[in-house]
Amino acid sequence: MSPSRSIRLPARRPRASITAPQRLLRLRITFSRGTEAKYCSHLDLMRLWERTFRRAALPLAYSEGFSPHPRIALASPLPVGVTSEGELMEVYLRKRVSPHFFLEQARPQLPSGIDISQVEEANIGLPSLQSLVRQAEYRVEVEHQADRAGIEARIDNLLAQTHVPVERPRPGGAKLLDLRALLDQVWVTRTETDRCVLGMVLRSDSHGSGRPEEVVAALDLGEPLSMHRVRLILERQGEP
Amino acid sequence: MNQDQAISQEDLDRILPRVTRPARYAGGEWNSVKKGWDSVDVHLALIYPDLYEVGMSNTGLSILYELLNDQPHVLAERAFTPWPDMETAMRRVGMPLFSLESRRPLSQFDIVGFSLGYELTYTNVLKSLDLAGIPLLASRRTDQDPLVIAGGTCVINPEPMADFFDLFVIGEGEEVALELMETYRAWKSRGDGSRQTFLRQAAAVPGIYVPSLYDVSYNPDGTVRAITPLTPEAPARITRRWLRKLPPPPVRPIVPFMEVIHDRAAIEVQRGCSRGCRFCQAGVIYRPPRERSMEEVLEAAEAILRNTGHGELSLISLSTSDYSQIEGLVNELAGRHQAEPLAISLPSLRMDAFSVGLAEALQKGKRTGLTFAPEAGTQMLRDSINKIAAEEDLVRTAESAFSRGWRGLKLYFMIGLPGETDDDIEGICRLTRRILDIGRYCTGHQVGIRIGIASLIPKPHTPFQWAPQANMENLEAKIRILQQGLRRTGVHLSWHDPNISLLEGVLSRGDRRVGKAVMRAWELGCGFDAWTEHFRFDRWQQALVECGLDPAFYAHRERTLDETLPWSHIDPGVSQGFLRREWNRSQSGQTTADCRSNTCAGCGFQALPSGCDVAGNHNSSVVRES
Repeated sequence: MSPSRSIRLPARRPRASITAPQRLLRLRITFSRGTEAKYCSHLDLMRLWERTFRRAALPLAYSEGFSPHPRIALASPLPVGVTSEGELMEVYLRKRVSPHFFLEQARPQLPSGIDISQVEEANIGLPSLQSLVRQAEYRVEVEHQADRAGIEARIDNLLAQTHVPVERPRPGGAKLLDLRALLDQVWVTRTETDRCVLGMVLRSDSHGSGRPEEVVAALDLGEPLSMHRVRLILERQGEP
Repeated sequence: MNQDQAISQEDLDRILPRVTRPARYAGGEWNSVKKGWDSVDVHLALIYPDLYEVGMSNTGLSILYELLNDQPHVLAERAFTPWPDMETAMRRVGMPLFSLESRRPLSQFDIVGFSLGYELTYTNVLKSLDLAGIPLLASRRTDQDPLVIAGGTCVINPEPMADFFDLFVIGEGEEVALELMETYRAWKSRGDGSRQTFLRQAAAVPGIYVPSLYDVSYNPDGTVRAITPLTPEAPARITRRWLRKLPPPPVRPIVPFMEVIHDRAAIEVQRGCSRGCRFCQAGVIYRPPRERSMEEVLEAAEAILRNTGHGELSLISLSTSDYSQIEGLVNELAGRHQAEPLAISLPSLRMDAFSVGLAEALQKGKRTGLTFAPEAGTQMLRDSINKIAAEEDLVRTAESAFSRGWRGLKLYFMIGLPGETDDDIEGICRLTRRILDIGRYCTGHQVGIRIGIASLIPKPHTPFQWAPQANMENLEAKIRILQQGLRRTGVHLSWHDPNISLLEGVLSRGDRRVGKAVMRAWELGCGFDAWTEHFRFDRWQQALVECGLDPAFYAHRERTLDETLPWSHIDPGVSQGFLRREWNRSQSGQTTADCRSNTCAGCGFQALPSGCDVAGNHNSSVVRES
């Protein structure tokens, strides 16, 4: 910045937290997304957390480089329109704060529809949260004249197949995949007069993720009335 | 109006999963305000007639939203024009256009207020009203319908939309919006319930224009003969409202879930511009130039960042490098935000070395684009449009950018300017080639130059309001000169669709008769005209023909100085004498100096009782050009 007219900005101090990773605090957060916020996308949700934590004045740790980003990782993208009570994320802080303090600071800054149910410290040496996710459990409501036996027969039929090809539309052309390989369990939770609630556990890892609406379609039950993610199932669950 | 008339979540859930970007229609964002419907007297819907992500980036809307919701007796909720897929889905199930906060149909509001910031959103106004089930024509609305009003930069010539609005708010809204709410509240509690009574009371409020209280007559040649008030409350001229001192800026703007066009916190550091470019409507209709103090901006910056959690702050104005304390402000902001990264953006920079330094300091080595607007290719033409920039300064700016590491520049030029010759167009090519050479010399490489070409659209209340807009053949010939002259230079050249510019010209300088064509175009299926994928010029042509209107009459005709212009009953504060003088000076190639750095140009504000304190600005400003 040598030439005649220029602005001198104070040099940014190197952030010790970034150059010395052992001093970072890694927190694992369980959160829910209700109806009010269910139409935001995965990227929207990333932005939402970033802004929520900044409003809460929490000491976020940032990535290095010219456009630093806060180190926030969501375990698994939650599809648009799906609610959830068991989402997982991790955030790195550059100073130690207690999980309780973190929760107290963040809660008042949450938009309606989003809530945090648990904050706990995670071992800094663990592999990334995304790499630990194995399965996701969903609860899906479908429109159907109550006929539990009929639906269960369809489920048995679906599970008896070894290969269920489905086409997943993508911007660059549809992709063909095997839904059966992504489906671990599906069951009827309850039936009401005009609707039926299904439970299902779908594969969700680096090889692919099953989508509940694809299972509903494969059962010939039309389009779901609502979809809710109950929990994400991690490898070695319970040992964050 | 009871609670159960709101659109239910279940109804929305039936259609939102199948439309693009459903977050546009779901509401619930941070800082959005949802008041109890029955807790207030006046229910106002604020509508920006374009997509959510465009409307949510509008500064005027965020000012009014915060200001009006701060009033205990008023609630203000938002709505935007739904994208065609959502419109289709809504029409299929019979869902009316609703507000994002309480999800009530717009027809339940007392007042439905549109922000008109761009002429090509006019058909979207009709689309939105129709989708809300509100009669489009003001003359068809009954006492049970909402009052439909508009404000924004376009209403400086309200005539093309006069048939559709009960009233217009001319000028800056911060004070007059509150006066209007009070007038409405008093009428609602004590009045006779007649819309006509209210409109006559409103017409007496300075800055309020009630078009139905005026008669427009025409000469045999199609020009306006006279615009005559029909009642004593309606003033012969409606004065544009402006604020002597800028009020504190909004600091609790809504934080959208989805990414919008301007996805950041914004503080208006100054309003108005003192440069006096003769083509620039904003330069006239935001006069006089007024600054916020650095202390006020810093305080607002702290608050807005705390309230939104944004990591980027934009310091907005018509010409941010002219803000007298810009250097100190940027230093101070950077100094206060060291622990958490804060990106500062300055959206409109003057073309000089100071601005390059400013941009460099802000970016910390990250090279995002640098954009400047020389506007014309030769000194003579720049003088004629009063874009005061010497060729050597432009070249030096480019040189300083390249020597500080930029590898490309974006340059904006206008074509179709009054008095422009082919040599002026070739001048754009010559200047570009010179900048390319300098780039190669400074960097040792080919630099990337992008040239954006807009054609002049003469706007009401500017010195060019009498000028003809260049026609299609003329513009196409000029584009060919540019293509020819920049061949094999590697320069990326892009230009606006001349048909869109022609339509914008017709709509901005139109009279009341143009409203029929807007209506007809909407009936023929026009909407989202600013979006090239939806712009249908053939339908607009059909609409104009069916209404017996000739686009050339509005766009390509030069007006004489004594013609009664369709917007002559709107007083922008800048005097007619000044505009005439500037038009004459343009034709003789004389420049008029920036009123902040030199003598007063006598634009008219200096003569108003509440005056203009640019002299004060001048005394405290830092002379930066070295």
